[in-house]
Amino acid sequence: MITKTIARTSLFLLLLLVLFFVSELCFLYIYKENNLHVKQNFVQFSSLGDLAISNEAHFIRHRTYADTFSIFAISPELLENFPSTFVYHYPTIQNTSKMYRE
Amino acid sequence: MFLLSSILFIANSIRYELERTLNSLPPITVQKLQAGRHELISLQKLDKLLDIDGVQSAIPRYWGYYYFANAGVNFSIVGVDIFDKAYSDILHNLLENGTFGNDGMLVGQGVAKILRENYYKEYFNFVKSDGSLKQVNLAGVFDAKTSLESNDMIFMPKALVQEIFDLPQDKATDIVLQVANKDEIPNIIAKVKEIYPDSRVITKDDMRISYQNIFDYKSGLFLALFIVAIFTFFMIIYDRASGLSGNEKKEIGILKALGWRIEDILQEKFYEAFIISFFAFITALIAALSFVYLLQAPLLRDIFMGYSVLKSDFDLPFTIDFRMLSVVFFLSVPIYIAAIIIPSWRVASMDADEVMR
Repeated sequence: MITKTIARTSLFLLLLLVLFFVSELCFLYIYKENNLHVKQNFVQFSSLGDLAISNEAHFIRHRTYADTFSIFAISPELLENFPSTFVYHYPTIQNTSKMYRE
Repeated sequence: MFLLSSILFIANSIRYELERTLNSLPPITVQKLQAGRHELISLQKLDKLLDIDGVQSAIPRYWGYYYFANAGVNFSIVGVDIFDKAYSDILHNLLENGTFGNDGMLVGQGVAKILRENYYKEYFNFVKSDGSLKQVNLAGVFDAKTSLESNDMIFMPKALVQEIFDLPQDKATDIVLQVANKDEIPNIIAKVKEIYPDSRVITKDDMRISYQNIFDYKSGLFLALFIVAIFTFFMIIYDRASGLSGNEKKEIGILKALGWRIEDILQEKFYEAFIISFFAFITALIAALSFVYLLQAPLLRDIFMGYSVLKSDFDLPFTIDFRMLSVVFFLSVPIYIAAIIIPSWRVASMDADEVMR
C-alpha cells in the first residue's frame, strides 16, 4: 500500500522526470535542427537522393535509378545474371580454394 | 517500450530526413532504357528537351558506381562542372577541408577512411575500363554533418568521370530538367515520353513512393521486433490480470476490514498503477531519445546499416511524431492500469473475511 509520503515522493519524482523529458525535447529540437540545411545543400549539390546507410546494395543507395529487379541484388559481389539468380563475384585478391565447401 | 520507441524514433528520423532532402533534388530526371535496362543517354537530346515549354534548364549528369574490390564496397562517383559558380558557392559550406581543382576529388568521410585503411592517403588509383590506372588526388573531405548523404560519394570533374568509366563524349548517365512551375510537370513528362518513347522519366513523387516502398519492405523487420516487445508486455499483463498474489489479496482484505469502500481501494490501486506505468513510459522515452539522438543508437543502427563496410555516422535529424508517441502510450499505460484495476475490483467486491481467509 502507498503511504502519503511515498505518494508525494513518487509524484515529485514523476514531475521531475516529465520536466527532464520536456527539457531533453527542447535541447534536441534546438541542437539537432541545424544540420538539416547543410544536408539539403549537399543533396542540391550532388542532385542524387537517398542515404548512404546501406551502400553495398544498389537499390538502397539509389534505388529509384536502379533496374526493376535490382532489389534482389543484396551485395556488390552478387552480379545480376538473371532476375532471380546471381553470379558470385569474388575479389581478385581472395584465395578461391577456401571458398568451396566439399 | 525503450526498444520499441528507439526503433520508431530511428525510422521516423530517416523518413523525415529523406522527405526533407528530397525537396532539394531536381524535379525531373530523364533516362534512356534499352532492353529494359538503363543505358547512357545521348547529349543530342538536350536541345529537344530544352524546347519543351516550361523546361527551365536541362543538365546532363555523369555518375556511376565504382566497385573497390579490396574493401568490397561500392563508391558512388559523381562528375561535376567545376567552373559552375553555383557549385563553388555551395561547396564552400560543405567541405571540412581542402579545395576543388582540375585533377582532384572530393570524398565523403567513409570513403576517406576506407582509402586510408588501404594506404591511399594522398591519391587513389582508379582502374579504367581498359585495365590501366588513373591516379586522382584527394583534394578534400566533406563535412561529417553530411555523412548520412555523402559517406560513399566521390566528386570529381566530369572529364575525369568520363575517362574512368570510359563514357563517350556525346553521352551522359542521365539528364535532369529544372521546371519553373511544378504544376506543369505532368505535361512535361507526357511530352518527353512522346518525343522519346524509350525514356524513363523519374519525378520527385516517384522517389517519394519509392521511399515508401523501402519502408514497407523493411517494416517486416520492425514488425517482428514490435511483436516481440508487445508479446513480452502482454505476458506481464496476463500474469497480472490472471489474479492477485496472496499478499495483495490480504492487503485489500485488511483495507476493507478497516472500512475502505470498493471505490477507495480502486482509486488507490489506480494511482499506484498509473505512477508505475507512467514512470516506466517517461523513463523509456528519455532513455530512447538519448540513445538515438545523443549516442547515435549503438547496436540498433546495425539493423538499418546491414553489413555495410562503409559505416557512416548516424547523426539523425531530431523529429517527434506525436501520433507514434500516443500509440506507444495507449499500448502500455492504460492496458497496465486495467490489468491492475480489474483483478483488484474482483477481490475488493468480495467479503473482507472471505478475502483474508
